[in-house]
Amino acid sequence: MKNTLRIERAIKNITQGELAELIGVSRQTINTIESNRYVPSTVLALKIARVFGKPVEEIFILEEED
Amino acid sequence: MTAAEIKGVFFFDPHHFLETFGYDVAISQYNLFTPLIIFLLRYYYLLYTKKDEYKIGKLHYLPYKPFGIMAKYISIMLLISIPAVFLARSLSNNTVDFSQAVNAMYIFLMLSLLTWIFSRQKREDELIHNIRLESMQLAVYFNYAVLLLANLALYSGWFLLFMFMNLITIEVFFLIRFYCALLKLNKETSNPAV
Repeated sequence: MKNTLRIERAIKNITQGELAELIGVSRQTINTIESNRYVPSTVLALKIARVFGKPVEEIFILEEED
Repeated sequence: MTAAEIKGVFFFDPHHFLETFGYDVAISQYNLFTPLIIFLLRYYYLLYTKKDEYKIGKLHYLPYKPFGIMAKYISIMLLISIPAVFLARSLSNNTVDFSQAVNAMYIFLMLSLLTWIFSRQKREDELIHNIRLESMQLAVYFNYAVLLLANLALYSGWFLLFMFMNLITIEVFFLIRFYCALLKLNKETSNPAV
C-alpha cells in the first residue's frame, strides 16, 4: 500500500507534527506511514482523509502485491 | 483402615503432595503452567463468546498522569537504591542487617515496575500500542526460555534465588525492549519534517 500523504501535506502546507496534532497521534506515526513502514488502522486512515477533505482511496492506494 | 490412613485419603495435604514431586519441581510447574492456562481459558472464552463479532475490544491501561510518571520515578529510585543498600552493607562489614529493608524494597520495585508497564505513554497512539504488544509477547517468550533453562540447570537454593529474581524478569525485559524500540523509532523518524 502506498500513499500520497506527503503531497497532500504539501498542498495543505502543514508539517508532520501539525498533521499529527490534528489527528491526535505522534509525529513518528505520521512519519512511518509516509515512508510506507506502517499501515494505519481504518480509523486512523479515515481521520487522515477527513483532515484533507478527500476520500481514503485518494490518499491510500493499494499496490499490485497487496 | 486406620484413622491416619483415612485422614490421608480424605484430607488434602499440600506438603505430602509437593513431596511426591519434590518441592522445587512443584513450584516450577506452578509457575510454568499458570499463565498458559489463563491464556488458553481466556482465548477460547473469547473465541466462543465473540463468534459473530468482529470488533476488537479495547485493552485497558492506567493513565500516564499520575501513574506512569510516578511509577517511572519510583522504579528508577529503587533500581538505584537496592544496589546501594548492598554496597552499604559490605561497607559496614555486615554489622547492620538490611535484609528486611531490601526485601520490602524489592517487592515494592516489582509493583512499581508493573504499574510502569501498564500505564500509557504520554502520547499513546496505535503505533506505540503495537510496539507495546510486540514487546509484551517477546517478554513472555524470553521469560519462558529463561524459566525452562533454570528448570533444567538450577536446583534448591539457586533455584529459589532465581525464582525470586524472576519476579522482575518479564518486567525488565519488556521495558528494555519497549524503550529500545521507541528510541529506534525516534531515530528513524528524526529527519526534519518536510
